[in-house]
Amino acid sequence: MRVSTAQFYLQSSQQMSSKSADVNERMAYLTSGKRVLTAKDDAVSFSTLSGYKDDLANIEKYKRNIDRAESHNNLQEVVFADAELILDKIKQDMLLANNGRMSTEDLQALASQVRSSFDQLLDIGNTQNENGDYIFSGYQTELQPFSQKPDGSVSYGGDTGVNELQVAKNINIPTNQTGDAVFMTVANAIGDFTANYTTNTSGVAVESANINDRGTYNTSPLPHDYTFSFDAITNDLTVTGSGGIVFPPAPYTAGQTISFDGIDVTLSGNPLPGDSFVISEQEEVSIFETINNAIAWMEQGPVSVNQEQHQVDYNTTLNQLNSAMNHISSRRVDSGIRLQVLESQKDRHLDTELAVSANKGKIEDLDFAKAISEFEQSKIALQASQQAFSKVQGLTLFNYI
Amino acid sequence: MTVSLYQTGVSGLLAAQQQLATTGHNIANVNTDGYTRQRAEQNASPGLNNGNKYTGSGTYIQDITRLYDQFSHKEQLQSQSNLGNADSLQARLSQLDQIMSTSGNAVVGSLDNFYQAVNGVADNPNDSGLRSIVLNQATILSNDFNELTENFDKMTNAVNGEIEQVAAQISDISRELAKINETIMHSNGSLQTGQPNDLLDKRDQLISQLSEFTRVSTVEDSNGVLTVMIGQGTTLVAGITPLTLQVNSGDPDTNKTELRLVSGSSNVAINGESLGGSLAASFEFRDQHLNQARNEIDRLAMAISSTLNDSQASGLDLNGVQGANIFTDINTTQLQQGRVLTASSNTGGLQPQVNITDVSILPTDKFEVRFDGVNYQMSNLSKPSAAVVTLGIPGTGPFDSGLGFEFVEAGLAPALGDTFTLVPTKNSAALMKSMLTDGSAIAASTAVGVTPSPNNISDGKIEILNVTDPEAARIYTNTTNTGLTVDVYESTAFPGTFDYRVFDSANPPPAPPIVTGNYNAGGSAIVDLPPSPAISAFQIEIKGDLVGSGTNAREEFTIGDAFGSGNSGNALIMAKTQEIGVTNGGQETFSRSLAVSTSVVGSKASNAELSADTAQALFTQAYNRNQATSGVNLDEEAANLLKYQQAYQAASQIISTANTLFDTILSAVR
Repeated sequence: MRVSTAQFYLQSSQQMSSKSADVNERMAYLTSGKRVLTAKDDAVSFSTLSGYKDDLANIEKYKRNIDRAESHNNLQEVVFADAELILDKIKQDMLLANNGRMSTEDLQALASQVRSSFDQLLDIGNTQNENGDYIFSGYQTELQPFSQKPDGSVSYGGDTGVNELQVAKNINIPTNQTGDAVFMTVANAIGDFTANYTTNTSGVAVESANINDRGTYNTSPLPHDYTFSFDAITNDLTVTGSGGIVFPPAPYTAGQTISFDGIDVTLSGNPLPGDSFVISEQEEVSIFETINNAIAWMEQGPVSVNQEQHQVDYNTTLNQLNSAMNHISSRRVDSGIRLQVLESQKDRHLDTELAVSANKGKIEDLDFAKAISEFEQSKIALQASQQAFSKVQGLTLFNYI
Repeated sequence: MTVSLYQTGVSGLLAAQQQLATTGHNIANVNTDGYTRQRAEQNASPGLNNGNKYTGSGTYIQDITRLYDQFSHKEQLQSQSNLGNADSLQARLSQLDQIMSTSGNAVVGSLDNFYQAVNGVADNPNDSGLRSIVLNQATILSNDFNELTENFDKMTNAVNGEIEQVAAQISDISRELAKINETIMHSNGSLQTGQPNDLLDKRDQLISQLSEFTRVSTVEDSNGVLTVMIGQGTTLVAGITPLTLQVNSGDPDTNKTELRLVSGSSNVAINGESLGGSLAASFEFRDQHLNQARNEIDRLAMAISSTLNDSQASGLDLNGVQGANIFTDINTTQLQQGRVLTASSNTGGLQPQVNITDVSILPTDKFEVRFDGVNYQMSNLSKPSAAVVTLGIPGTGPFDSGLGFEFVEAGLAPALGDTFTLVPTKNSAALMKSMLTDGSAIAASTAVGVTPSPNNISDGKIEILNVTDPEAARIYTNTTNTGLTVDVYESTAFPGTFDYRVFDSANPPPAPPIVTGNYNAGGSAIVDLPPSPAISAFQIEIKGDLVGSGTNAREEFTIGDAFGSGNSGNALIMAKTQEIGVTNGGQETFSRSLAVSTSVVGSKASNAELSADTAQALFTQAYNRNQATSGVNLDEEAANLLKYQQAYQAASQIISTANTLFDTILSAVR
């Protein structure tokens, strides 16, 4: 085939320019270290690559959230540990106080110790985090949750809101516990009712009072106050509710379960004729109420009259204190569990991150060995085309005629 | 005899001279573009009959022809058009790919930073510093979208500019061709014979230039006049009459410029995309690829704006007020009006608008609504095969198109034949702005919350959905009622069905409840509160097997006010929108949507590159084939020089021999 001069030059220049464009392109890859610079480089893998980048960004987000949630829950755990210590001290003081040889001054000293523990616990309830937010106020973090009224009782001013943070695609972890749940809603050691003893000569106490049939209970007349009275003569037990007698007079045998209106009651001790008490509904008791009861009991000093009732009160308060300690422990366990979940999520995310990064690298990263050898190759091709051109372009018949 | 020898010699001399001249012309034009090498056709002169034999009388040059293979020339023209098309498309798509990849990365980064900031607020809702960071990031995000749109605008302007330039060049070429045609015609018509080679070369060169811009085909008539047609057969040069190309701004979209073929005082519209060559590539790029990318970016901006605005609207800000729009509302009047382009040929006074109702099913297509005298008919311009939708009679609007947008009438009545072009996604990215300036306006708090009773024994829960008016929800829950109670139990009459009641906590049954109802096991019940006929402020979903312990011991839930400065529930919901699918029927997250758009452009660019390489190879082949016949080879011409030089020398030797013979005869008779 005949080759014209113009064709020869055009072809040579085209080849040289395409080779140098090649070299340029390879240099761009080498300097960036990436095989995929724009979507054009590998359109099919590009969207997979974007998916990996999204995954990695999400994992970063989750890790950050995990760190934040951890710091919240750590603070709570520390606070609960302190609360546990304080409650333990109160319990010790309470146990000491039951020693019959305590004098009035001793009991007053104990009572003021318990009072200072109370103040410490109140202070713990009003803990603020590093931003100045009250951690036990629920959503109302600018309001102090616990305030003591002049009569000594403590009211809760926050709400029941629990905030969460997203730590994995479908997992939200709570970051706070409400003061309501921690301090105000300790389960009543007796059950669903508290007892108020009008006449107690025998030391009889309500051991448990539970609602076992809510249906019947909900339809019984209000208010749900039940008076237990032991007949002055026959010692028969009669229980009267708001709508009349619910448990007709019958002899009481020790250990017997008294059932009425869907409620089951057991008593401890042997009642004497004339004893009576009233039980009223109270499913939960606040810790502060319990401690106030303990202080009030101690401040009564040594009691000489009605010692059975005094002892019954003591037992009730001590049981409730135990219940409170269990409650705080459970709350501490709650925080601990959350921290565990956060820890395992963090590990999971780190593992996933590693795998996704590896996959991303497979698509995106340049294989340097291959890239460098390709670069060398294209460099050599360029050099070869340049040399070939210089050698051949001087060949013309006009040199010889 | 001697005389004829002289003549023979002279004829050989003259022939050699012409051949030398031609060779010299070839050598001089070795680097001329489009030059076809010429050759002097030498013929022997017919013999003179003297007696019974013919004596040859020398030679003459019949014609100087150019070595032109019209078939390989046509092939070169064709492959040049394809190359022009492929090169132009590749260059533009590469540029678009660059823009999408780099700006796309910026947008993904900004989006991530924005959500990072939102997560910060979810952790610490009443920190004003974190809240302002959210607003900063929102501004950066909307700026990124604005910039991307500006880049698209610049590209559109560049392409339009190129179209104008090319049209002007084509018009110039057309005029030149007509002039050359005229000259050739005159030269053929007169008694001059021979081909005007250089004129023909010039004409071919012009046609070759033209073929880069469009597809060209030619028809030659008996006078050598060439009629030139571009594209699918539109005549550009009709013999000696040139037609020119003009660029008009589009109607109704002024940026969508159109080509018109101008002849004298009349002009005709030409479809730019069917022309082939780099012109078609420009139109194809501008009207299809760039348009598609722009619409997808617009739709993404719209999806982000509307999702985040909706999230804001379902929560309460630090002041207990319903969250205001964080980005521009997607249905502002300006945006609604901007989505409709009115044809200038419309005679009616209708100025319609497009209202977006559901971003998740919104397509990126272009629609046309035409008033046929009775109904509005909507057709899909991007998918011509889709069925035409009848929207309805004027005056009964707004008309739901079923594709996530409504056609809203405004202004006066339409006239028969009025057409409107709808681009539902138009301008969303350009007009996206961050609207809030004060960090406390971020609605981090939820309005109402559900608290289950601790006495509940079954599995199941109540969730708050669809808070459309958080302030009203709070008022309804806390002020109109003193908290709402919902109780559920399994029906004793119909086991497997769960009955529920919603009532004011201060007004329990037997007072009449607010709402009652039931749902089947495995299902759920969604309740509007306040119930109809009042406007629903929020909904609750009751689900699960809330068996309860009996008619009088139902599972109970309280719904109460949840607003607080430490409430970050809504910020959590807002942060989760990063991972929920919104576009494409709710399947793609924002960054996925962007990645899909970018990789579509990338694959187009990559294909265009392959096409360009192939086209280049084909063109080189065709060029080579053409050059094999028509190109000048200097070595060959050098050899020819020697050849004709020798012939000249030999011919002059003839003359000198004839002279010697004459001298000999003369000296013999003296």
